[in-house]
Amino acid sequence: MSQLLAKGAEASLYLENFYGYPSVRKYRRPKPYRLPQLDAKLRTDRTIREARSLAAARQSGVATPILYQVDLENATIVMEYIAGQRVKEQVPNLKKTQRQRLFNGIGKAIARLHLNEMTHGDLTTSNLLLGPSHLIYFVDFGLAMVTNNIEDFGTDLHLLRRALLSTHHTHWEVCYNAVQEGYSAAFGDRSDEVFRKVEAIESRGRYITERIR
Amino acid sequence: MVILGIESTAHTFGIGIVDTTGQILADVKAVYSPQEGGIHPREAAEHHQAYALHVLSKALTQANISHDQVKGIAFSQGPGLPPALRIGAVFARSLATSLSVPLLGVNHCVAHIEQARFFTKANHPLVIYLSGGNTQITTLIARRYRIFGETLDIALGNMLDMFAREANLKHPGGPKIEQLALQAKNGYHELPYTVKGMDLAFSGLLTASKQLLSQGVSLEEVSYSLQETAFSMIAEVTERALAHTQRKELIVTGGVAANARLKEMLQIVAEEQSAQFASVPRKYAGDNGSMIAYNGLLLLQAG
Repeated sequence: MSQLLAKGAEASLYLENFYGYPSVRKYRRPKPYRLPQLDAKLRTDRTIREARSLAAARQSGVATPILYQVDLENATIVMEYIAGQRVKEQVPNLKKTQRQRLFNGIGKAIARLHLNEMTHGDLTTSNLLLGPSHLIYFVDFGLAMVTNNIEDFGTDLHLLRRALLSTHHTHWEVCYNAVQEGYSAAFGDRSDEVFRKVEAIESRGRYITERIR
Repeated sequence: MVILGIESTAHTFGIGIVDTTGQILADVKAVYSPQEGGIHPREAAEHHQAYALHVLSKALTQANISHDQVKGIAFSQGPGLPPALRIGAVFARSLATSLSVPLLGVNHCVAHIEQARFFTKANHPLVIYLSGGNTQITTLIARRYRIFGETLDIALGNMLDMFAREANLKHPGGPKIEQLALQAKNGYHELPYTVKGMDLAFSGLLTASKQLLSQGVSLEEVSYSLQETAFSMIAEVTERALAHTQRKELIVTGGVAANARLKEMLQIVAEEQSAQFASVPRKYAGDNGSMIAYNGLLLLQAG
Protein backbone atom coordinates (compact mmCIF):
# COMPACT_ATOMS: atom_id res chain seq x y z
CA MET A 1 0.00 0.00 0.00
CA SER A 2 2.80 2.34 0.88
CA GLN A 3 5.96 2.34 -1.18
CA LEU A 4 9.04 4.47 -0.53
CA LEU A 5 9.36 6.69 -3.59
CA ALA A 6 12.36 8.77 -2.60
CA LYS A 7 14.37 9.70 0.44
CA GLY A 8 15.53 13.29 0.22
CA ALA A 9 17.70 15.22 2.62
CA GLU A 10 14.72 16.53 4.57
CA ALA A 11 11.79 14.26 3.93
CA SER A 12 10.77 10.81 2.79
CA LEU A 13 8.21 10.42 0.02
CA TYR A 14 5.81 7.47 -0.08
CA LEU A 15 3.60 6.48 -2.97
CA GLU A 16 0.10 5.73 -1.66
CA ASN A 17 -3.52 5.78 -2.60
CA PHE A 18 -5.79 8.57 -1.37
CA TYR A 19 -9.42 7.51 -1.84
CA GLY A 20 -8.68 6.12 -5.25
CA TYR A 21 -6.15 8.72 -6.36
CA PRO A 22 -2.45 7.95 -6.54
CA SER A 23 -0.89 10.18 -3.90
CA VAL A 24 2.41 11.09 -2.33
CA ARG A 25 2.86 11.25 1.42
CA LYS A 26 5.69 13.57 2.34
CA TYR A 27 7.04 13.01 5.82
CA ARG A 28 9.60 15.44 7.22
CA ARG A 29 11.85 13.23 9.32
CA PRO A 30 13.10 14.37 12.73
CA LYS A 31 16.75 15.27 12.55
CA PRO A 32 18.78 13.61 15.30
CA TYR A 33 21.64 16.13 15.01
CA ARG A 34 19.64 19.13 16.20
CA LEU A 35 17.91 19.97 19.48
CA PRO A 36 14.39 18.52 19.72
CA GLN A 37 12.72 21.91 20.26
CA LEU A 38 14.51 23.46 17.28
CA ASP A 39 13.75 20.36 15.22
CA ALA A 40 10.03 20.41 16.04
CA LYS A 41 9.74 24.09 15.23
CA LEU A 42 11.47 23.82 11.85
CA ARG A 43 9.49 20.76 10.78
CA THR A 44 6.13 22.23 11.74
CA ASP A 45 6.93 25.61 10.26
CA ARG A 46 7.99 24.14 6.93
CA THR A 47 5.02 21.82 6.72
CA ILE A 48 2.68 24.81 7.11
CA ARG A 49 4.66 26.82 4.58
CA GLU A 50 4.58 24.03 2.07
CA ALA A 51 0.85 23.38 2.45
CA ARG A 52 -0.06 27.04 2.05
CA SER A 53 2.35 27.63 -0.80
CA LEU A 54 1.22 24.64 -2.87
CA ALA A 55 -2.23 26.18 -3.00
CA ALA A 56 -1.03 29.78 -3.43
CA ALA A 57 1.30 28.86 -6.29
CA ARG A 58 -1.53 27.04 -8.04
CA GLN A 59 -3.69 30.14 -7.76
CA SER A 60 -1.00 32.17 -9.49
CA GLY A 61 -1.07 29.77 -12.42
CA VAL A 62 1.92 27.62 -11.58
CA ALA A 63 1.41 23.87 -11.66
CA THR A 64 1.83 22.17 -8.28
CA PRO A 65 0.53 18.89 -6.87
CA ILE A 66 -2.97 19.25 -5.41
CA LEU A 67 -2.90 19.25 -1.62
CA TYR A 68 -4.98 16.42 -0.12
CA GLN A 69 -4.18 16.44 3.57
CA VAL A 70 -2.02 18.08 6.22
CA ASP A 71 -1.00 16.45 9.49
CA LEU A 72 1.01 18.96 11.51
CA GLU A 73 1.55 16.63 14.48
CA ASN A 74 3.52 14.33 12.22
CA ALA A 75 4.90 17.00 9.87
CA THR A 76 3.22 15.19 7.02
CA ILE A 77 1.54 16.31 3.82
CA VAL A 78 -0.46 14.15 1.44
CA MET A 79 -0.65 15.43 -2.14
CA GLU A 80 -1.33 14.46 -5.71
CA TYR A 81 1.14 12.10 -7.36
CA ILE A 82 2.72 13.60 -10.48
CA ALA A 83 3.77 11.06 -13.08
CA GLY A 84 6.85 12.76 -14.44
CA GLN A 85 10.58 13.17 -14.27
CA ARG A 86 12.80 15.65 -12.50
CA VAL A 87 14.15 18.41 -14.72
CA LYS A 88 17.61 17.56 -13.31
CA GLU A 89 17.66 14.27 -15.23
CA GLN A 90 16.08 15.79 -18.35
CA VAL A 91 18.58 18.60 -18.93
CA PRO A 92 21.40 16.47 -20.42
CA ASN A 93 19.02 14.58 -22.73
CA LEU A 94 17.39 17.57 -24.40
CA LYS A 95 18.32 19.37 -27.59
CA LYS A 96 19.40 23.00 -27.22
CA THR A 97 16.08 24.39 -28.49
CA GLN A 98 14.11 22.07 -26.20
CA ARG A 99 16.23 23.16 -23.28
CA GLN A 100 15.58 26.80 -24.13
CA ARG A 101 11.84 26.24 -24.38
CA LEU A 102 11.78 24.37 -21.07
CA PHE A 103 13.73 26.99 -19.15
CA ASN A 104 11.83 29.84 -20.75
CA GLY A 105 8.71 28.24 -19.29
CA ILE A 106 10.39 27.88 -15.91
CA GLY A 107 11.31 31.58 -15.96
CA LYS A 108 7.71 32.51 -16.76
CA ALA A 109 6.42 30.36 -13.91
CA ILE A 110 8.86 31.90 -11.42
CA ALA A 111 7.67 35.36 -12.51
CA ARG A 112 4.07 34.30 -11.88
CA LEU A 113 4.99 33.23 -8.34
CA HIS A 114 6.71 36.55 -7.74
CA LEU A 115 3.79 38.55 -9.18
CA ASN A 116 1.63 36.69 -6.69
CA GLU A 117 3.93 37.99 -3.94
CA MET A 118 5.63 34.74 -3.06
CA THR A 119 8.98 33.01 -3.52
CA HIS A 120 9.83 29.33 -3.77
CA GLY A 121 12.97 29.56 -1.64
CA ASP A 122 14.79 26.49 -2.92
CA LEU A 123 14.79 26.50 -6.70
CA THR A 124 16.91 23.67 -8.05
CA THR A 125 16.36 21.34 -11.00
CA SER A 126 15.58 18.60 -8.44
CA ASN A 127 12.51 20.57 -7.34
CA LEU A 128 11.06 20.95 -10.82
CA LEU A 129 9.16 18.09 -12.43
CA LEU A 130 8.24 17.65 -16.04
CA GLY A 131 4.71 16.32 -15.79
CA PRO A 132 2.11 15.12 -18.29
CA SER A 133 1.67 17.25 -21.45
CA HIS A 134 4.94 19.10 -20.77
CA LEU A 135 3.54 20.93 -17.77
CA ILE A 136 6.28 22.10 -15.39
CA TYR A 137 5.43 21.25 -11.79
CA PHE A 138 7.02 23.10 -8.88
CA VAL A 139 7.46 21.06 -5.71
CA ASP A 140 9.15 21.34 -2.32
CA PHE A 141 7.89 24.64 -0.98
CA GLY A 142 9.27 24.21 2.54
CA LEU A 143 11.37 27.38 2.30
CA ALA A 144 8.74 29.47 0.47
CA MET A 145 7.90 32.97 1.64
CA VAL A 146 5.11 35.46 1.26
CA THR A 147 6.94 38.57 0.14
CA ASN A 148 6.89 41.51 -2.20
CA ASN A 149 10.55 42.32 -1.76
CA ILE A 150 12.82 42.57 -4.82
CA GLU A 151 15.67 41.20 -2.69
CA ASP A 152 13.74 37.96 -2.08
CA PHE A 153 12.87 37.64 -5.77
CA GLY A 154 16.55 38.12 -6.55
CA THR A 155 17.51 35.40 -4.05
CA ASP A 156 15.10 32.99 -5.76
CA LEU A 157 16.72 33.51 -9.16
CA HIS A 158 20.21 33.50 -7.65
CA LEU A 159 19.59 30.06 -6.14
CA LEU A 160 18.40 28.66 -9.46
CA ARG A 161 21.40 30.21 -11.23
CA ARG A 162 23.74 28.65 -8.67
CA ALA A 163 22.04 25.27 -9.04
CA LEU A 164 22.45 25.43 -12.81
CA LEU A 165 26.08 26.51 -12.48
CA SER A 166 27.03 23.71 -10.11
CA THR A 167 24.87 20.87 -11.43
CA HIS A 168 24.60 21.62 -15.14
CA HIS A 169 27.86 23.47 -15.71
CA THR A 170 27.98 22.63 -19.42
CA HIS A 171 24.48 23.92 -20.16
CA TRP A 172 23.97 26.54 -17.48
CA GLU A 173 24.31 29.62 -19.66
CA VAL A 174 21.72 28.57 -22.25
CA CYS A 175 19.36 27.54 -19.45
CA TYR A 176 19.77 30.67 -17.37
CA ASN A 177 19.44 33.01 -20.36
CA ALA A 178 16.19 31.29 -21.22
CA VAL A 179 15.00 31.68 -17.62
CA GLN A 180 15.74 35.40 -17.83
CA GLU A 181 13.87 35.75 -21.11
CA GLY A 182 10.82 33.95 -19.79
CA TYR A 183 10.95 35.89 -16.54
CA SER A 184 11.17 39.29 -18.28
CA ALA A 185 8.29 38.43 -20.57
CA ALA A 186 6.00 37.57 -17.66
CA PHE A 187 7.24 39.88 -14.94
CA GLY A 188 7.39 43.06 -17.02
CA ASP A 189 9.27 46.31 -16.49
CA ARG A 190 10.65 45.62 -13.05
CA SER A 191 12.46 42.46 -14.15
CA ASP A 192 15.68 44.40 -14.82
CA GLU A 193 15.60 45.55 -11.22
CA VAL A 194 15.39 41.90 -10.12
CA PHE A 195 18.27 40.89 -12.41
CA ARG A 196 20.44 43.66 -10.97
CA LYS A 197 19.60 42.34 -7.52
CA VAL A 198 20.70 38.83 -8.57
CA GLU A 199 24.10 40.27 -9.49
CA ALA A 200 24.31 42.18 -6.23
CA ILE A 201 23.51 39.00 -4.25
CA GLU A 202 25.99 36.98 -6.26
CA SER A 203 28.73 39.54 -5.59
CA ARG A 204 28.30 38.98 -1.86
CA GLY A 205 29.79 35.51 -2.25
CA ARG A 206 33.53 35.18 -1.87
CA TYR A 207 36.08 35.60 -4.67
CA ILE A 208 33.51 35.70 -7.44
CA THR A 209 35.92 37.07 -10.04
CA GLU A 210 38.27 34.15 -9.42
CA ARG A 211 35.61 31.61 -10.25
CA ILE A 212 36.18 30.61 -13.82
CA ARG A 213 33.17 29.10 -15.37
CA MET B 1 63.99 16.55 -1.76
CA VAL B 2 61.50 18.68 0.17
CA ILE B 3 59.07 21.55 -0.44
CA LEU B 4 58.82 24.50 1.92
CA GLY B 5 55.48 26.30 2.26
CA ILE B 6 54.69 29.71 3.71
CA GLU B 7 51.26 30.70 5.03
CA SER B 8 50.47 34.35 5.85
CA THR B 9 46.88 35.12 4.83
CA ALA B 10 45.57 36.30 8.20
CA HIS B 11 46.67 35.93 11.82
CA THR B 12 48.99 32.96 11.28
CA PHE B 13 52.54 33.10 9.93
CA GLY B 14 53.37 29.46 9.35
CA ILE B 15 56.11 27.50 7.63
CA GLY B 16 55.74 23.85 6.79
CA ILE B 17 58.09 21.40 5.13
CA VAL B 18 56.91 18.23 3.38
CA ASP B 19 58.77 15.49 1.54
CA THR B 20 57.78 14.08 -1.87
CA THR B 21 55.26 11.67 -0.33
CA GLY B 22 53.50 14.59 1.36
CA GLN B 23 54.69 13.59 4.81
CA ILE B 24 55.11 16.61 7.11
CA LEU B 25 58.69 17.09 8.32
CA ALA B 26 58.04 20.41 10.00
CA ASP B 27 55.09 22.63 10.83
CA VAL B 28 55.87 25.78 12.78
CA LYS B 29 53.72 28.81 13.28
CA ALA B 30 53.54 32.14 15.06
CA VAL B 31 50.02 33.44 15.64
CA TYR B 32 49.25 37.13 15.95
CA SER B 33 46.81 37.75 18.77
CA PRO B 34 45.33 41.25 18.99
CA GLN B 35 45.29 42.93 22.40
CA GLU B 36 41.69 43.87 21.81
CA GLY B 37 39.16 43.65 18.98
CA GLY B 38 39.78 41.65 15.82
CA ILE B 39 42.69 41.26 13.44
CA HIS B 40 44.25 44.57 12.43
CA PRO B 41 45.79 43.93 8.97
CA ARG B 42 48.82 46.19 9.45
CA GLU B 43 49.55 44.83 12.91
CA ALA B 44 49.25 41.29 11.56
CA ALA B 45 51.78 42.15 8.83
CA GLU B 46 54.18 43.67 11.38
CA HIS B 47 53.86 40.52 13.48
CA HIS B 48 54.65 38.28 10.51
CA GLN B 49 57.64 40.39 9.58
CA ALA B 50 59.00 40.18 13.11
CA TYR B 51 58.59 36.40 13.38
CA ALA B 52 59.41 35.25 9.82
CA LEU B 53 63.10 34.39 10.36
CA HIS B 54 62.46 32.82 13.73
CA VAL B 55 59.74 30.55 12.31
CA LEU B 56 61.96 29.62 9.35
CA SER B 57 64.95 28.57 11.45
CA LYS B 58 62.71 26.59 13.80
CA ALA B 59 61.11 24.79 10.83
CA LEU B 60 64.51 23.94 9.31
CA THR B 61 65.73 22.59 12.63
CA GLN B 62 62.55 20.59 13.16
CA ALA B 63 62.81 19.01 9.70
CA ASN B 64 66.54 18.50 10.16
CA ILE B 65 67.37 19.43 6.58
CA SER B 66 69.84 21.69 4.85
CA HIS B 67 69.06 24.43 2.33
CA ASP B 68 70.12 22.45 -0.72
CA GLN B 69 67.42 19.84 -0.13
CA VAL B 70 64.68 22.41 -0.70
CA LYS B 71 63.40 21.97 -4.24
CA GLY B 72 60.56 24.50 -4.23
CA ILE B 73 59.13 27.39 -2.22
CA ALA B 74 55.34 27.54 -2.02
CA PHE B 75 53.46 30.50 -0.62
CA SER B 76 49.85 31.33 0.09
CA GLN B 77 48.80 33.56 -2.76
CA GLY B 78 45.49 34.46 -1.19
CA PRO B 79 42.70 35.16 -0.63
CA GLY B 80 43.69 36.98 2.53
CA LEU B 81 44.60 40.30 4.07
CA PRO B 82 46.80 42.17 1.56
CA PRO B 83 49.42 43.53 4.02
CA ALA B 84 49.83 40.09 5.60
CA LEU B 85 49.95 38.36 2.21
CA ARG B 86 52.68 40.71 1.03
CA ILE B 87 55.04 39.66 3.83
CA GLY B 88 54.69 35.97 2.95
CA ALA B 89 55.04 36.64 -0.78
CA VAL B 90 58.17 38.77 -0.43
CA PHE B 91 59.71 36.30 1.99
CA ALA B 92 58.95 33.40 -0.36
CA ARG B 93 60.32 35.19 -3.40
CA SER B 94 63.56 36.06 -1.62
CA LEU B 95 64.04 32.46 -0.54
CA ALA B 96 63.22 31.04 -3.97
CA THR B 97 65.59 33.45 -5.70
CA SER B 98 68.50 32.86 -3.35
CA LEU B 99 68.06 29.07 -3.50
CA SER B 100 67.37 29.13 -7.28
CA VAL B 101 64.27 26.93 -6.93
CA PRO B 102 60.75 27.39 -8.37
CA LEU B 103 58.34 29.75 -6.63
CA LEU B 104 54.86 28.20 -6.32
CA GLY B 105 51.74 30.31 -5.71
CA VAL B 106 49.05 28.36 -3.85
CA ASN B 107 45.35 29.17 -3.34
CA HIS B 108 44.68 29.24 0.39
CA CYS B 109 41.20 27.65 0.22
CA VAL B 110 42.29 24.85 -2.11
CA ALA B 111 45.28 24.25 0.20
CA HIS B 112 42.93 23.63 3.16
CA ILE B 113 40.83 21.27 1.09
CA GLU B 114 43.71 19.32 -0.44
CA GLN B 115 45.42 18.89 2.92
CA ALA B 116 42.13 17.65 4.37
CA ARG B 117 41.89 15.14 1.51
CA PHE B 118 45.47 14.05 2.20
CA PHE B 119 44.81 13.43 5.90
CA THR B 120 41.42 11.79 5.51
CA LYS B 121 42.43 9.84 2.38
CA ALA B 122 39.07 10.87 0.98
CA ASN B 123 38.89 10.33 -2.74
CA HIS B 124 35.95 12.36 -3.98
CA PRO B 125 34.43 14.11 -0.98
CA LEU B 126 31.95 16.87 -0.36
CA VAL B 127 34.00 19.48 1.49
CA ILE B 128 32.73 21.78 4.21
CA TYR B 129 35.22 24.62 4.68
CA LEU B 130 34.51 26.74 7.75
CA SER B 131 36.84 29.43 8.99
CA GLY B 132 37.04 33.07 9.98
CA GLY B 133 36.93 34.18 6.37
CA ASN B 134 35.12 31.37 4.58
CA THR B 135 31.97 29.27 4.76
CA GLN B 136 31.77 27.05 1.70
CA ILE B 137 30.26 23.78 0.66
CA THR B 138 32.09 22.54 -2.36
CA THR B 139 33.08 19.51 -4.36
CA LEU B 140 35.29 18.76 -7.32
CA ILE B 141 33.34 18.39 -10.57
CA ALA B 142 35.04 18.36 -13.96
CA ARG B 143 38.41 19.47 -12.54
CA ARG B 144 37.10 22.48 -10.63
CA TYR B 145 35.90 23.02 -7.09
CA ARG B 146 32.32 24.11 -7.59
CA ILE B 147 30.47 25.95 -4.85
CA PHE B 148 27.11 24.46 -3.84
CA GLY B 149 26.47 26.64 -0.85
CA GLU B 150 28.13 29.52 0.93
CA THR B 151 27.43 32.36 3.30
CA LEU B 152 25.64 35.37 1.85
CA ASP B 153 26.97 37.71 4.50
CA ILE B 154 29.62 36.92 7.15
CA ALA B 155 31.61 33.71 7.61
CA LEU B 156 30.71 31.32 10.42
CA GLY B 157 34.06 31.85 12.19
CA ASN B 158 33.77 35.60 11.75
CA MET B 159 30.31 35.51 13.34
CA LEU B 160 31.68 33.56 16.34
CA ASP B 161 34.60 35.99 16.69
CA MET B 162 32.34 39.04 16.50
CA PHE B 163 30.05 37.62 19.14
CA ALA B 164 33.05 36.81 21.34
CA ARG B 165 34.27 40.37 21.01
CA GLU B 166 30.87 41.65 22.14
CA ALA B 167 31.12 39.34 25.16
CA ASN B 168 34.67 40.55 25.94
CA LEU B 169 36.27 37.22 25.10
CA LYS B 170 39.70 37.39 23.52
CA HIS B 171 40.36 36.54 19.88
CA PRO B 172 39.92 33.83 18.61
CA GLY B 173 36.49 33.40 20.16
CA GLY B 174 35.40 30.03 18.74
CA PRO B 175 37.16 27.76 21.28
CA LYS B 176 35.98 29.92 24.20
CA ILE B 177 32.37 29.87 22.99
CA GLU B 178 32.65 26.08 22.67
CA GLN B 179 33.75 25.80 26.31
CA LEU B 180 31.03 28.17 27.57
CA ALA B 181 28.35 26.29 25.63
CA LEU B 182 29.29 23.08 27.45
CA GLN B 183 28.49 24.74 30.77
CA ALA B 184 24.94 25.74 29.77
CA LYS B 185 22.18 23.53 31.08
CA ASN B 186 18.98 23.24 29.04
CA GLY B 187 19.10 26.88 28.18
CA TYR B 188 18.11 26.99 24.52
CA HIS B 189 16.78 30.33 23.38
CA GLU B 190 15.22 30.66 19.96
CA LEU B 191 17.37 32.55 17.46
CA PRO B 192 17.02 33.44 13.75
CA TYR B 193 17.64 30.42 11.54
CA THR B 194 18.50 31.53 8.00
CA VAL B 195 18.86 28.94 5.27
CA LYS B 196 18.29 29.90 1.64
CA GLY B 197 18.50 26.77 -0.45
CA MET B 198 22.07 25.69 0.22
CA ASP B 199 23.17 29.21 1.14
CA LEU B 200 23.34 30.63 4.63
CA ALA B 201 23.28 33.98 6.40
CA PHE B 202 24.63 34.62 9.90
CA SER B 203 24.28 38.35 10.54
CA GLY B 204 20.71 38.16 11.90
CA LEU B 205 21.79 35.40 14.25
CA LEU B 206 24.69 37.54 15.47
CA THR B 207 22.48 40.56 16.15
CA ALA B 208 19.86 38.51 18.00
CA SER B 209 22.54 36.81 20.10
CA LYS B 210 24.01 40.16 21.11
CA GLN B 211 20.51 41.30 22.06
CA LEU B 212 19.97 38.22 24.24
CA LEU B 213 23.21 39.00 26.01
CA SER B 214 22.21 42.61 26.63
CA GLN B 215 18.88 41.40 28.01
CA GLY B 216 20.80 39.63 30.76
CA VAL B 217 20.70 36.04 29.50
CA SER B 218 23.82 34.25 30.73
CA LEU B 219 26.79 34.06 28.39
CA GLU B 220 26.79 30.26 28.70
CA GLU B 221 23.20 30.00 27.51
CA VAL B 222 23.66 32.43 24.62
CA SER B 223 26.84 30.63 23.53
CA TYR B 224 24.95 27.35 23.62
CA SER B 225 21.96 28.67 21.66
CA LEU B 226 24.21 30.40 19.16
CA GLN B 227 26.25 27.25 18.50
CA GLU B 228 23.22 24.98 18.28
CA THR B 229 21.47 27.29 15.80
CA ALA B 230 24.48 28.05 13.61
CA PHE B 231 25.69 24.45 13.47
CA SER B 232 22.19 23.12 12.76
CA MET B 233 22.09 25.45 9.75
CA ILE B 234 25.46 24.09 8.55
CA ALA B 235 24.32 20.50 9.15
CA GLU B 236 21.10 21.06 7.22
CA VAL B 237 22.73 22.49 4.11
CA THR B 238 25.41 19.81 4.32
CA GLU B 239 22.75 17.12 4.30
CA ARG B 240 21.03 18.77 1.35
CA ALA B 241 24.30 19.04 -0.55
CA LEU B 242 25.14 15.38 0.17
CA ALA B 243 21.75 14.28 -1.12
CA HIS B 244 22.07 16.55 -4.15
CA THR B 245 25.62 15.59 -5.17
CA GLN B 246 25.35 11.93 -4.08
CA ARG B 247 28.88 12.08 -2.67
CA LYS B 248 29.72 9.25 -0.29
CA GLU B 249 32.48 11.05 1.59
CA LEU B 250 32.17 14.15 3.75
CA ILE B 251 35.11 16.09 5.14
CA VAL B 252 35.32 19.28 7.17
CA THR B 253 38.25 21.68 7.40
CA GLY B 254 39.08 25.26 8.42
CA GLY B 255 39.42 26.71 11.91
CA VAL B 256 35.84 25.97 13.00
CA ALA B 257 36.42 22.29 12.12
CA ALA B 258 38.15 22.02 15.50
CA ASN B 259 34.75 22.30 17.24
CA ALA B 260 33.61 18.97 18.72
CA ARG B 261 29.86 19.73 18.67
CA LEU B 262 30.00 20.66 15.00
CA LYS B 263 31.83 17.44 14.16
CA GLU B 264 29.29 15.45 16.15
CA MET B 265 26.43 16.94 14.09
CA LEU B 266 28.19 16.35 10.76
CA GLN B 267 28.94 12.77 11.78
CA ILE B 268 25.20 12.16 12.27
CA VAL B 269 24.38 13.82 8.94
CA ALA B 270 26.92 11.62 7.17
CA GLU B 271 25.40 8.48 8.72
CA GLU B 272 21.90 9.56 7.66
CA GLN B 273 23.09 9.92 4.07
CA SER B 274 25.28 6.78 4.25
CA ALA B 275 28.48 8.73 3.73
CA GLN B 276 31.85 8.42 5.44
CA PHE B 277 32.73 11.37 7.66
CA ALA B 278 36.23 12.54 8.45
CA SER B 279 37.82 15.74 9.64
CA VAL B 280 41.38 17.03 9.65
CA PRO B 281 43.37 16.53 12.86
CA ARG B 282 42.67 19.40 15.23
CA LYS B 283 46.24 20.66 14.88
CA TYR B 284 45.83 21.17 11.14
CA ALA B 285 42.26 22.52 11.10
CA GLY B 286 43.44 26.12 11.17
CA ASP B 287 45.89 27.93 8.91
CA ASN B 288 49.30 26.26 8.68
CA GLY B 289 52.38 26.19 6.49
CA SER B 290 52.39 22.46 5.77
CA MET B 291 49.15 22.69 3.75
CA ILE B 292 50.83 25.29 1.52
CA ALA B 293 53.93 23.10 1.18
CA TYR B 294 51.78 20.08 0.29
CA ASN B 295 49.92 22.03 -2.40
CA GLY B 296 53.24 23.31 -3.72
CA LEU B 297 54.27 19.69 -4.07
CA LEU B 298 51.07 18.88 -5.97
CA LEU B 299 51.67 21.85 -8.29
CA LEU B 300 55.26 20.78 -8.92
CA GLN B 301 54.22 17.19 -9.62
CA ALA B 302 51.51 18.39 -12.00
CA GLY B 303 54.11 20.45 -13.85
